Amino acid sequence: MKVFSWFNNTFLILLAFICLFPLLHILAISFSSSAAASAGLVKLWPVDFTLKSYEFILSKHEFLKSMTVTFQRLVIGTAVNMILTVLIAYPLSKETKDLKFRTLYAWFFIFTILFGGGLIPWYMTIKYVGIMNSIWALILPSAVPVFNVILLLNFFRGIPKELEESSFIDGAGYWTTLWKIMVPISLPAMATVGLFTMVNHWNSWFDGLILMGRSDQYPLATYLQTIIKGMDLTKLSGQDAIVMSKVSDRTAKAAQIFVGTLPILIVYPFLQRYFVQGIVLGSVKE
Amino acid sequence: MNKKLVRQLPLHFMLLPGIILILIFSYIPMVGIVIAFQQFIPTNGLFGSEYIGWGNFEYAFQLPDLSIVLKNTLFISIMKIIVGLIAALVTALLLNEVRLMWLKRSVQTIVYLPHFLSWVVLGGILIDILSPSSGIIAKVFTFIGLEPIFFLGKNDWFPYVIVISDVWKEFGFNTIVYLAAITSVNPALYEAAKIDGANRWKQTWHITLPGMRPIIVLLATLSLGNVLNAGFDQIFNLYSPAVYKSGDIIDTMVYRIGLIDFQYGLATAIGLFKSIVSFILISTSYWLAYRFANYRIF
Amino acid sequence: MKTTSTKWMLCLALSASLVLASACGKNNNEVSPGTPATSEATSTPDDSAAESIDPFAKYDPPIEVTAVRDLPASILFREGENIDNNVWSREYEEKLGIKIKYLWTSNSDYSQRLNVSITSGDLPDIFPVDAVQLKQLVDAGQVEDLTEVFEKYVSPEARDLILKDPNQMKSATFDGKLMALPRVGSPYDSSQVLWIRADWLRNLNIPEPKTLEDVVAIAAAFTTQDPDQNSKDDTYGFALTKDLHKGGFANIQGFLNGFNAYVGAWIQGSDGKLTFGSVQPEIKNGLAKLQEMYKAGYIDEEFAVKDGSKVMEDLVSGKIGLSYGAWWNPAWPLQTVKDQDPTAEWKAYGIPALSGTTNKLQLSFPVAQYYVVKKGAKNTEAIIKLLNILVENGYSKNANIEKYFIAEDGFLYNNYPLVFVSPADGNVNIHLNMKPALENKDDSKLTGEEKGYYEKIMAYRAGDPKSWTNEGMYGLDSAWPFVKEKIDADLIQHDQFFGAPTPTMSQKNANLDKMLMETFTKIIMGEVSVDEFDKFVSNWNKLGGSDITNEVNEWAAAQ
Repeated sequence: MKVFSWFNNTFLILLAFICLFPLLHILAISFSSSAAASAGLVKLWPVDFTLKSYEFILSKHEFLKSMTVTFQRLVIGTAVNMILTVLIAYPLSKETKDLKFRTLYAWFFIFTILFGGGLIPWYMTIKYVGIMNSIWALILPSAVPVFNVILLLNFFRGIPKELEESSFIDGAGYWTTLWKIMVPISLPAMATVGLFTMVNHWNSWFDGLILMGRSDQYPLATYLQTIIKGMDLTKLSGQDAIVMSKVSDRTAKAAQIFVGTLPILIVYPFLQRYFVQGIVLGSVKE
Repeated sequence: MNKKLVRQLPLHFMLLPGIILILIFSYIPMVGIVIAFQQFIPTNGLFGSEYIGWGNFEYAFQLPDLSIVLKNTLFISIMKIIVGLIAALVTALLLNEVRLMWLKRSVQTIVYLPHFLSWVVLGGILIDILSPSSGIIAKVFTFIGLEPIFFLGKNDWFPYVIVISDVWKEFGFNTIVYLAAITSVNPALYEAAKIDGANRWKQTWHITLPGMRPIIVLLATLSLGNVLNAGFDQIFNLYSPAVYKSGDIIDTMVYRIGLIDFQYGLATAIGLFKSIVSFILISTSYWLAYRFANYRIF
Repeated sequence: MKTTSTKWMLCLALSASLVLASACGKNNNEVSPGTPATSEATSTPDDSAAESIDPFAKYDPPIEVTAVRDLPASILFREGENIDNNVWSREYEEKLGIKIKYLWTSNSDYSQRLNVSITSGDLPDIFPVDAVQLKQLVDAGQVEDLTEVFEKYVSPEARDLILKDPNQMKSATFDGKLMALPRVGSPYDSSQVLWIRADWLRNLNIPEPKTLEDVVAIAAAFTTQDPDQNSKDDTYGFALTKDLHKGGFANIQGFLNGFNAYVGAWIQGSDGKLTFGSVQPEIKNGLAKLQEMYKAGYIDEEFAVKDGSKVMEDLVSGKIGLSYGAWWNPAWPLQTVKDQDPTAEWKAYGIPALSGTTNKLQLSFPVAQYYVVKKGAKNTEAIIKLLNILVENGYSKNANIEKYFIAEDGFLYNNYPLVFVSPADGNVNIHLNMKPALENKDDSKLTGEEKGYYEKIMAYRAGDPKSWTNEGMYGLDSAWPFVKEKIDADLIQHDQFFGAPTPTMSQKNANLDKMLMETFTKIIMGEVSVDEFDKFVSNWNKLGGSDITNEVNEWAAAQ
């Protein structure tokens, strides 16, 4: 057993290093001089250490602005998503005998992750609803995260029936049971689904690009996407080249990627405390 | 009977807001599927273009490279689904065996980092790592006496590089949901097994894995929806004319066809085709699970 | 939703009433510095009313014009400014009484988003489109005919500038009607030349290249003779990206021109018909040479996976000293090489031909964007005024470059105007003016813009390697002397096809292009014999190429 433990730990540490590598590389570039970065000399350690790119970020109005848009989106969006996820997952976790049309409902939701009409009608719908260029355009169209709903539904099902029944016997209705028993008891699942929701909001860039009228309304991911992607090198013109010589800078990009990723990276370790075994069991004993 | 319906009413009400939002933002846009049957030109509006029946599908299916592209897509996506699932599951189980909490948590956090970097960024890094002249892999190969391999430039290797690098990027993130599933296993079962003298391996096999089965089956079923998605962003950032033969997939092909004038008709037709295939696969496995195991996957 | 659309209607109604008011009020607001009021007579000879129209007349009260546009991600604004408030928007409002209201702007994916707008029918008054969209909009009758307002309102300077290269204007003309303002530019701006590190030539004592054979010999020497004298075998002879002939840097277009091969261009065949440059036998010769060079190790064995920014790494880290690329390469990426290694000395060397032959310089069609006015928009003529003021402020004798295009501190304003054009010979002329100034150290005859460059060049010569860019772009070692030589000798290969993509092109080009890239790459890498090219040509014709050729010739016949 000791031997296995030792091997296992070593293996996982190795795995961790392989996964840490790209971020370390980006961090090293962000602290290097721009010429060294352009020459591809930076590996895992900064070359010609400098803080210039971080000074650049602090003065970069668009970057800071997009950060606030993303935080706004994250807070409102996660709240909306989580409430809807719970509200849908709970009824769907029932058997057909407890909820008529359950399977029909389930397929009603599943169907939407399989079929879509494409960009144009999607855009037109959002436009006609009248939420274009507002934060709601980033929240309402994706307000029901169907994948998360199904996931939570499966976790809800795993909760022993006795818990719910005893709650009903105490006179509680569905609403009370859902919020007082089901949600607190599925903390690991809620944490997982919550994390997925937040990560989704943090990473989505395409909706921001298409639905926001101005670049200063872009969320962080959209902003990052536009600077990382940069110009199409096969279609560069002289004017572009002059612009590029002034702004294209790998170190600044690296710093923005790093700072733009950091907040969401911190979320997970924080949520890990909810990944505890045996919550369900403990409550049954009560 | 009526009483039962009244009692159910709160449950139906809970579903209502979600149903309304989904109707507006998912079902209404589905009218756009008509584009698949049009010679679509934006100036004619959504419904005004010439209707050409199955024309776009016929055009798609007579594209000269279609068979190669389909084969590449299926190979890459199926490999990704299988290897990805196993890697995430095994990592979750291994992490579950770690007794040092700080180690467990740090590893868990670190392996999920690559998920947050886009393929534009990772693509550049991979080209460096895999370079046959200066990459770290080539150096290791030379050190142990092997000939360095041009991984990204050779058709024999390219699909595997795609699969492995994708698994590397995503396995840590996918581990999370399995870790959550492990927490829902009843600890009393382990106690009982210990008394029976089962070792860690037997406990994992007979208790942990069966406890995670609903989630595993669910994720496997849903991933069937991706058999025709081999990962556009990744391949677009890593492929090159040298590996078109093994790396060109449906999505990159549609992208290149659309470079001149988008070809919404063709893109929608292919999208619809992909949706139908996913729908058939998922509903079949749903039906099979229900029919033979009396289990509803969702 | 209701509120937005009502607001909209209100705006429309308001602007409509404003127009009426301004029409009644006659144009008596002459806010046009330095434009003689007499100039209109010549522009509209058939104007029976003999009404004198001031091309810069201000709308009073001001009008609002809606627009959409793409803004490059890299665009920068002064503190507190943005696209709605900057030197150009203020200029539009103060001088012309035109307030541009951007319904949206897009960073990338502009075409996508515009297509969505077109489909849902909510078009702004003025917007830029590409050639495909222009044709679709014209076919659907959704854009205004500009023929009349152009004749009536265009200023003489703007007319001269935009008509300088007649083909550019022609590409916006349908059945004799002007349906859009082309974003005209200089065909010479697509010039590609050979860039070589002159310091490496000196290190190895090699004379400057005169012929293509010399170029290959230099590539060989740069590979094997340690040109950077670091006693390491770490250099390549020839820069190349996976995009082969696409892009302005490290590509094979200029190299192939040396073989009289014109990849990607429609050229006149011996029978007088247009034929596709990429399938001519001369290409085969060029590919054979490239294959030879790859085999000999002059080309990075990994070129097939590297895009421009990866190859740039090799240049900056001093691994490559020879690259075919655009005239503007000094701005990017060569200045970065200089930043990393101040001793690096890049010089342009034209496009050497095989010894005993003459070749042409290949240029592409400069117009990629067109400005259109929505059918039924009020003030159709506003777009012409935007053009007038751009030319007035940027290219006329009253031009003020520092105020409107490039500030003294290098800050760029030239992305701000909604309607932008540039002269057909702008950058060549800058060089031609610069040349005597540099030779005589006298900047008195230079324009404001040129003076800015001149000062940068002087700063570089005084020992600041960071200021090399302008020396490389406009100085004596720039690409222009060679381009000028080709222009004077009439050795220019224009792309003869400049219409919207033909039906077969939009259906088959993706596949044909894939075939081309795959074949060329494999030939260069030596994975297949160069004879594979012949098979490619016959497949190209079979799989749509000959249909496309016919369509292109039909188009040419209709011109």
